[in-house]
Formats: sequence, structure tokens, C-alpha cells
Amino acid sequence: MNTVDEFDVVVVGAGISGAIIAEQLGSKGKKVLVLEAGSGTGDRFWNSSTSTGAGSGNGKKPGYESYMDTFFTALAKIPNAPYSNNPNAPQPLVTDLEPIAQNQTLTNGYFVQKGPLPFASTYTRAEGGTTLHWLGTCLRMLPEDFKIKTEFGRGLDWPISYSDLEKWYQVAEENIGVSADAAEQSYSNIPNKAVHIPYESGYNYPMEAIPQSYLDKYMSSGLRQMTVTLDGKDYPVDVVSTPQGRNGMPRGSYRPVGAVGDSDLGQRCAGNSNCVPICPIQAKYNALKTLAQAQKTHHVEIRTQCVAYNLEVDPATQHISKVHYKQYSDPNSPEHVCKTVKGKIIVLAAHAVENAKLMLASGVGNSSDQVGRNLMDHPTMLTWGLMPTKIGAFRGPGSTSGIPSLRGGDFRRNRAAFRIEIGNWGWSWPEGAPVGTVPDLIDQKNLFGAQLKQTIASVYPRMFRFGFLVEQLPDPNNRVTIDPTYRDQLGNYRPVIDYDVSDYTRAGMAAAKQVSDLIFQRLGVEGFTEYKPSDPGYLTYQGQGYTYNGAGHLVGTHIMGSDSKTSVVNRDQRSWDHPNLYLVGCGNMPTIATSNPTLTMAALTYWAADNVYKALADM
Amino acid sequence: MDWLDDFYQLSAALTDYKVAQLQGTGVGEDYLEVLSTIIPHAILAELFGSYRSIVAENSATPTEQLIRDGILSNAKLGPVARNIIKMWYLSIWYQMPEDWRQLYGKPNQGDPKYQDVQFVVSRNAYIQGLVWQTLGSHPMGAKQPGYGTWGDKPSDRSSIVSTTS
Amino acid sequence: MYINEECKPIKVAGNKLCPITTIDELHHNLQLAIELEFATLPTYLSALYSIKENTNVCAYSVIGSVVMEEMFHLTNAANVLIATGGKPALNNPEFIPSFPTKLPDKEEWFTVNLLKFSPEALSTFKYIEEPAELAHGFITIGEFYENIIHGLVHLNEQSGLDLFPSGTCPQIEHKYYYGGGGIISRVTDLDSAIFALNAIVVQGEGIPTAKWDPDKPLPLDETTGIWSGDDPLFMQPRELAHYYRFDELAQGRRYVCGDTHNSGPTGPEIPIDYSAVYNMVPNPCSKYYEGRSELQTLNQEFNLIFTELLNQLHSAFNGKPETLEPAVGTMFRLKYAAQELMRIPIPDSPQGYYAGPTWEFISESCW
Repeated sequence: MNTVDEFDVVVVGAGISGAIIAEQLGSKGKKVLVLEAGSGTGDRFWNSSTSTGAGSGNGKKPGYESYMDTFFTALAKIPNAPYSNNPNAPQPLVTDLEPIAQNQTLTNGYFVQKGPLPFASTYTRAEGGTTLHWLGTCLRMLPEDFKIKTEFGRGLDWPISYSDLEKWYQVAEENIGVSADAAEQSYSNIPNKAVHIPYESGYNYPMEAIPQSYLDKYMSSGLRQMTVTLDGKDYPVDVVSTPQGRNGMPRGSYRPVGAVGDSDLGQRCAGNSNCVPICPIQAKYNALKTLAQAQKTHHVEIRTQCVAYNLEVDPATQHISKVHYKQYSDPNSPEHVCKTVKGKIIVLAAHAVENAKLMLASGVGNSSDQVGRNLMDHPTMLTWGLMPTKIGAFRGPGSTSGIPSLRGGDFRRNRAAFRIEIGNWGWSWPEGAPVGTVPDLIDQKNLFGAQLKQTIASVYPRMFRFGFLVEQLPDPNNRVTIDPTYRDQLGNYRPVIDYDVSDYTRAGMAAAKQVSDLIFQRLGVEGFTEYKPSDPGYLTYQGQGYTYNGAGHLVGTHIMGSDSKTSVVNRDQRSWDHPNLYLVGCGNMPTIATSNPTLTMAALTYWAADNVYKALADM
Repeated sequence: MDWLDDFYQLSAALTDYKVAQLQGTGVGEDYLEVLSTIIPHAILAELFGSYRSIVAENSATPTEQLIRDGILSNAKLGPVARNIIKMWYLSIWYQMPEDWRQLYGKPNQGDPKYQDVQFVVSRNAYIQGLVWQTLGSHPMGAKQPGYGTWGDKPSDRSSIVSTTS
Repeated sequence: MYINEECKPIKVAGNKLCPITTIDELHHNLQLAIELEFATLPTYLSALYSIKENTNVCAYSVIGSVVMEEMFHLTNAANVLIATGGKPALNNPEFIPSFPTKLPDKEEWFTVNLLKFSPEALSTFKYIEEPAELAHGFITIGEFYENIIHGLVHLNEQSGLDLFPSGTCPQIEHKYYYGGGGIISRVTDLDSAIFALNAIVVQGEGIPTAKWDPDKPLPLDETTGIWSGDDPLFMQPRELAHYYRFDELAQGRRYVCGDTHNSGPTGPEIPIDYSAVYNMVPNPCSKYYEGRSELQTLNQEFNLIFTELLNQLHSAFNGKPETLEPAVGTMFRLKYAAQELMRIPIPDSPQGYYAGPTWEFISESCW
């Protein structure tokens, strides 16, 4: 028998949280193995262009650029379009979604969706994870977000406070490379105290704020001094630029990190307007950068195409004694070999859904019966229309500003809070414009020549949309489970999902729509918003129809808490049940609040890395 | 069979872009190859011939109307012309309408990589789609315009080529 | 790079540069430095933009990185000029040569042409970047900068002259510059001025040394260019002078550790495809577009963008450094306009030539 490889730390998953753990511990001399279920690009930016020479084998090796090839020629440019489906590590796609008929199960994608509503978010199973296609929004949570049970009698409190996490926010912002202005992000100028975020005095982000889009500035001046009345109280509607994990103008001695494999590229955002699904130059942060830094420590090994499927428990100590994984060489062939590794500490960083799946498949860490439960997202409602004048749609990062002034307040007793995202890409999300809409101008509107050209030139630059990221509360019935009936081609479980949207969140959507209507009135926007019962995310509230989309913010599934009976990990992000098992990622977050979760998750993960390091010292 | 000049002349009329601008995309020949692989040559000959006679005709009727009369409202030629417009604007070949395929469709006449199904013509073609410059921006994911340009007032100055001459 | 009285108004006595003794002479020489750094760009960019999309990735990257470094040099020279109270001038027709232009060869005149990416273009590039050591008896850019440094030292010692006055225009800060090339540092005194100028010489053309040995291995570390089966090495930042980087392309091979000037590159093959290049007419000139109004218009459009770029750079170096931000966008527009021209065949060209931009500054009166 072969001896089993042994590491200080075995990390499952090479996305942002796994990369952070590997880099932090590798840089302190710990021997780390990262197992990644999907494929990778091996630190190459460009495709290996020659196949001669020693050691190259026959095939050309794909680099990051191969994702661009796939993206450009994909008909549906969905978030996962550049990252080919891998039957050995399948991933959910937005094109899998359909309305779920009563008591039916939707099985046509990777997810097995039992409804009653479809879970609409997706993620990427490849080296670098979903940061390959994230937008890069790096908002901090509000102080009140950590204690909504206490403050509003809703959801759950976190076992930590904003001030506990603050220093880790700073670490995450430095390492991701966030461009923003701290004074602005404290929201201290917004006349709604509930949203104020204290920043350490003297602190600022490593790079200057990304310039706002022309649309942002147009809207900012159009909405100046606007207020809306919610539950009898007036709230401001303020446009604020969004902190972003993309390279801008550095402050002081900070040096932006360019593309992995060609560091001259991506040192500053160049306005490719393609953050989702892929930044062509890696000016937007992705976890490949942290993985490259981890490997530079020479203590970190990354094994791609290795799917962890079972965690073995030592019955005497309750330690995770072994990690079993299936290694394959061809994504399209189920042929694989089963291997085993040992780690003093095991860190699951495979993503909220995959972490839960692996724990359920292994029967570990679930004494609370909370593994897989409390799955959350930001049900994202869009409204769209035509501005009265050209605002330069389809330019710049996907979103450079938002309206954060309604993220917090007393109304959270009654209904969900939301953040408004101002979209820079016209109707690309709601209507698939322009590629999805121009054929209609030619085939149905019967335009050609100058008429066609003038129509596009005069209408499309006026296209505009809002996204309302509505808070969803932890609900034990929104959950990931496994079922032996549903497996992928390697024989691993597919996630089975039960999901619904509560009235609390629906009431938030209704309020969001009202706010949108008022803003449209004020700006003279010609509304084109339409919610159709045939939309997968269609729902009703008090007789009105609304449609939500997935935000890609998968949160919950192994929440942290202060009680082992009601949570999966403690405030150190360690499993209550297994002394050497740590869980990282958005799955730890007990609530989702109104901020895109990646920054908070990264901050938590830097903290977790510190905890793991200390735990190793005590072993 | 050298249709390249015919193809550019007709394309210019259908898209309202100058021939030089269409040439400047560098993918016109690829589009013609797609077209002449999928569309029966007799139909292409008829299409280009129709446009040549429209140009030759010294009619009081505006050319745009003549194109509608002779090409776009022709059951055989219209769908082909519309596919040419869609290729230039969106770089996608769309499957010909079902009734057209029943009446006029022929098996593939060239490179089998081009079949009459929906596909993006090529990576370069996507980048050269006319829709992006028409709407005052750049193809998403390519032809990066530079840091901060998204904050500029959208320009009403489209290419001076299209506003002069 | 060679400079000479007949191509640029520089004071030369025989084969020696005249010492700089006045502040005006210093400013004149620094302005000349800016012009020389900029003058290479149309040549390099013509070849760069003639490469067809997604082909010749390595060559594209090498030429692109040299261009970025030339911009870095230009900025450093401009910062020294600004710091000493001078005013860089970039927005006039005399700022750019008209091509073909002549720079002196060792024994005879050598012509710098605007050419598509080709072996001939690479010969020109190598010639432009030829190291001081090979240029017996001629003034090199290294010596030229050395002369400026001597002038700075001399002027700094003069009493009564404030060489680095306060209240000069803002310099270009590093935050405006990115994409490789180097770190821009602020010029406030003699040391920082010398530092900025040395950065140009070290990076571009190498430091002249009397002990140059053509059999001495080039300064490459062990892993550089060694075949590993992967291409990322081709993108490794390396301290290899421009001349050798172009030589690698010309010879289609990588320099590896142990290689010398005389050995030439012995490393892995660099894939180069000269057929994946638009057949741009050599030294594009507006007379080729006479009677072709669409080409004339596109070329005019290019020249207007080029003019806008020079105006923006001028403004950035004369009090408004923030103008560099929109200038980046203008550079990208310049590229797309050049590429558009290069994809258009010149009608009835017997050689099957394609169009190309003419790189002309258009004075306001001609708009």
C-alpha cells in the first residue's frame, strides 16, 4: 500500500476562501495541500502556444486566455459561459432554471430543485472559484446587521460584532485590493444613522475610488435631497460610489497586483465592461492571484481535478483523520482513481453548497442538524427603463455606485432591507440587450440601414436598470440535502435544494418596487419593467407579481453561532463536533443582510486562518 | 465566383456603414464564407444581382424603398438579407426560418464547420460586431476603452465617416 | 538610439557632445530627450498593430512592453524638465518626425521606416536600440543622458542658480502610470533627478562601459527562458535590454542563462508567424489615399485622435497631470483606429498593400 500524504493543513476548494487559508498558512511555513474539484489554468495567462519541446506533452495547455476564447464564441454569455461545464465537477447554470410546477422536481441542471421556488444562484467549479466571475463589490456589513435578532426580533444574531471583525475587514481590503474612499464608505453623510459604519480613524483603502459612471453622476444629481417614506418615517435616497475589488489608482506605496502569468496586464481597470462573466485582463481581483501568492511560499501544493467526497472520522478523538478524493484526468470521462490524504487540520472551503454536501455525504459535523440549512441569497429584483437622455449605457464596470441609504432602519422589524445597485450595462441583465434584442428590430420591427442604425444609436445609450438586492432571513427549511437517487458522473451527490421566499422578503421586494417607481417618476424614466408568470423567479405578494433573480450570493448552510445545538461552527469557525475541522466561506454567515458577502467572508477567512495557525501551534 | 465586392456593396446598404468601415472589421470575408456555405449559390447570385439592378436603376424611388421592394419583401431573398444584417451587427449566424428552409434550404456547400444552426461566427467576429459602436460603446470584453472613460459624457460624435460624405 | 546634429538640433562638436552650461541648454536637451523617446513610438506601434488578432502573442507582448518603457522614459525626462522649471512641448507638428526619417548609422545613413511586423521591421528596431558598446564613434542615448547629468551637476554647483525651484508645475506621479515599465519617482533635487535619468539608461540601452565583452553572458537568471513546457516564462519580467529582446524575436529564439552577445539566443523557439500580419503599406502616406475618400476620412480620424493624444500629454506635462487619465483612453482609440485602417486593402494596389495611419499632428487651423 502507498503511504498516505500528510500535511499540516488540507484545504478543500481553491476559491477565494481556500486561497486565503493556503496563502496565510503557507507564508508562515505550514505545509498545505489544496484539493480543487474543477480544472485549472496552472498560472498561465496565455495558452501554451507551442507543443514541442521536452516535457510539454502533445496537447497545448490552456491558460486564462482559453476562458476568453470560450466566452467570445458562447451564444449565451451567462456568468459561467467562459468556464466549460465539467461533468466530473458539475456546476449550476442560470439557463437550467424554470418555474417549478407544484410538487414537481426540477432536475435538468446540476441542482435538484424541489421548490416551491427555484434557487436562482450559481457558482463556478474551477480553480479560482466564483471570483472568476464575481462583480467585485466589496461592501462592509452594517453594525446592526450582526444583531438583527436583538434589534428587530428577526433572523439571528452573529456570535461576533462589527467591531470584532473590523480589523479583518482591513486585512481583506488590503489583500483583495479594494478601491474606495473610507470617508465616503462610512456613510456618515447619509441622514440615516442606521447605515453609518465606523471606520478606524486614519484608515483608508489601498486604492482611490473607482470613477463613477456618467449614469451614476446623472442619477446622483437627479436624486439630490430625495427622500422616501417607509412605515411613516422618511429615509434618504443617496447615491454613493461602491467599493470595488478592482485595480484603480494606488494610494501611497501600494502596488496593484496584475494578472497571474502576465503581471503587466490588469494593473488598472481598463473598462472592458465584462467583470461578469470574466475580466479579460484580471484588473478585477480573482482568487488565482492569492493562489499564485500561496504557491510562491513553496509550502503550498494545489491539486486540481481532485474531488473530495468523504471525510473519515477517528471515533476515538472525533478528529477528521482522512480526506478521500477522486482524481480524474479527463473532465469528460468518469475514469478516476480514489486517493486519500491526511491533515492535522482540515479546512472545508468548497463553497456553501459543496461544503454542506460533503459534510452530509460524510456524516460529519451535523450534531446540530443545521448542516445544509438556512440557505440564503439576495433575491434580486430588477427594474428597467429608458432614461430621457443618453446616459452612456454598456460602459464601465458592471456597477460603480449604489443607493445604500435604505440598507438599515427600523422598518426591518416588518420587512426586508435592500440595497439598490445601479447597473451600468443597460438592459443586458433583464433583456439580454443588445445581442438578445437587436434581432427583433430586424425581424419584427423591420428596420434596416439608416433606420436601424439610428434606432440603436438613440435608444440603447438610454437603457438603464436597477437591481434591488433584498435581504433574506435564515430559514431552516431553505436547505441543501443529498439523495442517493441523484448523483453526478463520478458518483458524487448532486445538491438537492428546497427553497422558498418568505413574506418578509416579499414585502421588501414590494417596498423596493415602490421606491423604484418614485425614482422613475422623479427622473422621467420610461419604464419597461415586466414581471411574467413564466419567469422562473416569479412570485406574488398582496396580489402583485414580482420576479427575483439569483445574485450569486450563496450564504448559510453551516452557520456560526454561540450554541452548539443551533449552529455548525463556533466563532472561531471551527466545527462544534470535530476539533480539527474548520469551515470557511459564506456558509458560516448566519445572516446575509444587504451587502455582497465576499468581503465579509474574506475577512472572516483571514480570521479563521489566524485561528488555524494558533491551533496548529497548540497541537 | 467572386462576390466579395457585391457582398460589401449590399452589406453597406443594409447596415448604413461605409464599405471601408466594413472592411475595417477584418471579418467580412468570414461572413461571406459562412453565407456562401449555407445559402444556395443560385439564391446568392439572385440577391447580389437584385442589388446591382437596384443600384443601376435610375429611379426616382429612394434606394431604401427599392431594397424593401426587391429584397426585404421577397420571400426568398428577404430572410437572407436579414441574416446578413444580423451577422454584421451581432456576429451571429441565426438559423434560417423554418418555412424558408423547407422551400429553399440545401445541404452544406462548403466547410462543414458552418451548419445552418445558430452560432457565433468567430472570436474576432464577436469583437467586430457593429452593434457595439452603434450604441456608442465597445464590445463587452474587448476593445477596452481605458480607465475612467465610463465617467465621460456619452458622445454624440459617432464616427465622422458616417456623418460626412 | 543615435542622435546627430543633422536629424536633431543638438550641439555636437565632432563626435562629442557639448557640455551643458546654462539652464536653457539643459531644458533644450531634456526637450530633445522627450522628442527622441516619443519618436520611436510610431515605428513600434505600426508593427505592433499590424499583428493580427490573437496571433504572435509573444512578439505582441515584447513590442508592447518596450513601448510602455519608452513612455516611462519620456515621463522621467519630462519630470526632470518640469522640476528644473522647464516646460515640455509636445503639441506641435515639429514634435514628431515625418516618416521615413533618418537616424545616422555607423558609416552611412540608416532610414527608420514605418513597417508592418516583419524581419525588416525587427532589423530597424534592433538598429534603433543598438547598445552603446556596438556604436563605435557615435553618440548614444546613454552618452546623451550622461551629458545631461553632467550638466545638472555643473548647474547645481553654481551659486545663485536655483536649479530645482519651488512652484513648478506638478510632476507626473506614479499613480498615473501602470502596466509595466518602472516606478515613477518624484524629482526634487539633484539626486532624484539623476536617479530618474539613470532609470532610463539602465533599462533601455544599457550603461556604457569600457569593459564590454561580447562573450560575457547576459544578465539572465537561471530559470529565465529555460524550457519548462510552459509559456509563462515568455512573459517573465526580465532585465534584458531592448536590443536583445528584439533580437530574440528576429531570431525566433529565447536568450537563456549563459547566452552571450556572440552566442546569440540558444533557448526555446519563439513561435512567430509573419503571415498573420496585415500587409500595411510601408511608410503610409496621405498620397496613397488620394481619391479614396473613405480611407482619407479614416486616416484623418486617426490623425485627429493622435493630435488629441499629443494635446493631452502636453497638458498633463504642463500643469494638469490628471489629463493622463483621459489620455489613456485616447491611446486605446488610437490603437483601434490604426487597426481599422490596417484591415482595409488599398484598392488596386499591385503589391496587395493595406492602408495604415500616417501619424501626423494636425494644427488647429486644419480642423
